[in-house]
Amino acid sequence: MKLLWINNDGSGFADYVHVNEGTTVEAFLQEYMHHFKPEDYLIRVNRQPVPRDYVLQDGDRITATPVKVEGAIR
Amino acid sequence: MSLTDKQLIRIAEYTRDQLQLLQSTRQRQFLQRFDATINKIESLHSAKRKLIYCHSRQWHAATKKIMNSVPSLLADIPYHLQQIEQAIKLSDTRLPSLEDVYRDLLQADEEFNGLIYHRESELLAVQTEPVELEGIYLGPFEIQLHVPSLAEMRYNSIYRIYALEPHPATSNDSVTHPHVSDERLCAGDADVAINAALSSGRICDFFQLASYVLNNYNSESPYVSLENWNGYSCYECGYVACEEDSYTCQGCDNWYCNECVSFCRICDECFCGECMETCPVCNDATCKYCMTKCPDCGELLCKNCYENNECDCQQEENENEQEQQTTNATEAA
Repeated sequence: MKLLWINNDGSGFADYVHVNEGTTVEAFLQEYMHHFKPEDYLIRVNRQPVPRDYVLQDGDRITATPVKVEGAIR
Repeated sequence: MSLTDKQLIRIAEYTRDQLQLLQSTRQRQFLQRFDATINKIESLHSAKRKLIYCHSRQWHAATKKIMNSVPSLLADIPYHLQQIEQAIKLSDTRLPSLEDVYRDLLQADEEFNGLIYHRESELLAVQTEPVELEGIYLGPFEIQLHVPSLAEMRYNSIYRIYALEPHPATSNDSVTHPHVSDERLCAGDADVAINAALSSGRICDFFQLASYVLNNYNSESPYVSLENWNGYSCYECGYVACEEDSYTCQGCDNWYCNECVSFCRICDECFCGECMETCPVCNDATCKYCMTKCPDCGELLCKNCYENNECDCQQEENENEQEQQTTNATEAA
């Protein structure tokens, strides 16, 4: 099934990805984000908060936004 | 007051229009860069034609001259290719649908307890919870996005961070947060992601990223560190010292660190070097309030020296008096 994956970490990107049926949010993020720690990200599926065992559906929009992001003088 | 659904749709339409303009600007930019590259390649073609012509006529000097111009023409090619690549990347962003933008606004409205639109200034905004970093209360902020600026490439002026209850650094009023100066956020690690979110119309992601930057502190690179938040910047050397190690000059009211401050040898008050004078008699550093004018010669000297009659003119007078007395005594004898 096809998902819209928006990763706001690092350079930030949005892309379509294909995942297997029955994939949970947590399993997806473990696979697509290196060293994923749930507490470090705000996760939304279709713009709504979901539990980590939520099973992703075809066409879902999943967003990960880092909560521990630091400013700096360029 | 929360925005009505109708208002949200209007703002979404307006936002999308700006993104469409941005896309068009980027495509135009790509065309310009592409055109510049083609011109460079044509210059190479022209050099090649001239080279063949000169070489066939055995014009060695002219051949050599054209050959020498080739490296500089080639050297520009990688730069132009890089420019094209960048322009392609920038224009590659998918234009969000009106529904996408609308849903993003709805999400921001929910996540931040209300989306605000300042109609006159065309600012779309959300307010953060009060921010407190390492025990220092900085207050709530309003993250303001200037919607028309989305159509331009100048990301630095697209948004600003407005302190709703400013608690700026003592040393600099324009620094309301360690990473905000003059209402500009130095987003550091989030900078690229913020730009990506804005150019693809992910307004809620932008607000979230900016708000998380405000809720974190990078001690390696602040405008003013939290350690010195309540400290004062030395007027002379710029060093930020804590309140206990900062002194106000009683002459000019500026703050000085303990290295740059001085004190008057008479009244013991703090003064900076500029507000002090040197007594010409005792050479002590003295504040302007403790200096006085000798009524006889007009010379400026410290009060101590004046009270002790140590002004040069008085010394001279004393010497003259002594001399006179000695002369009188000699004559009498």
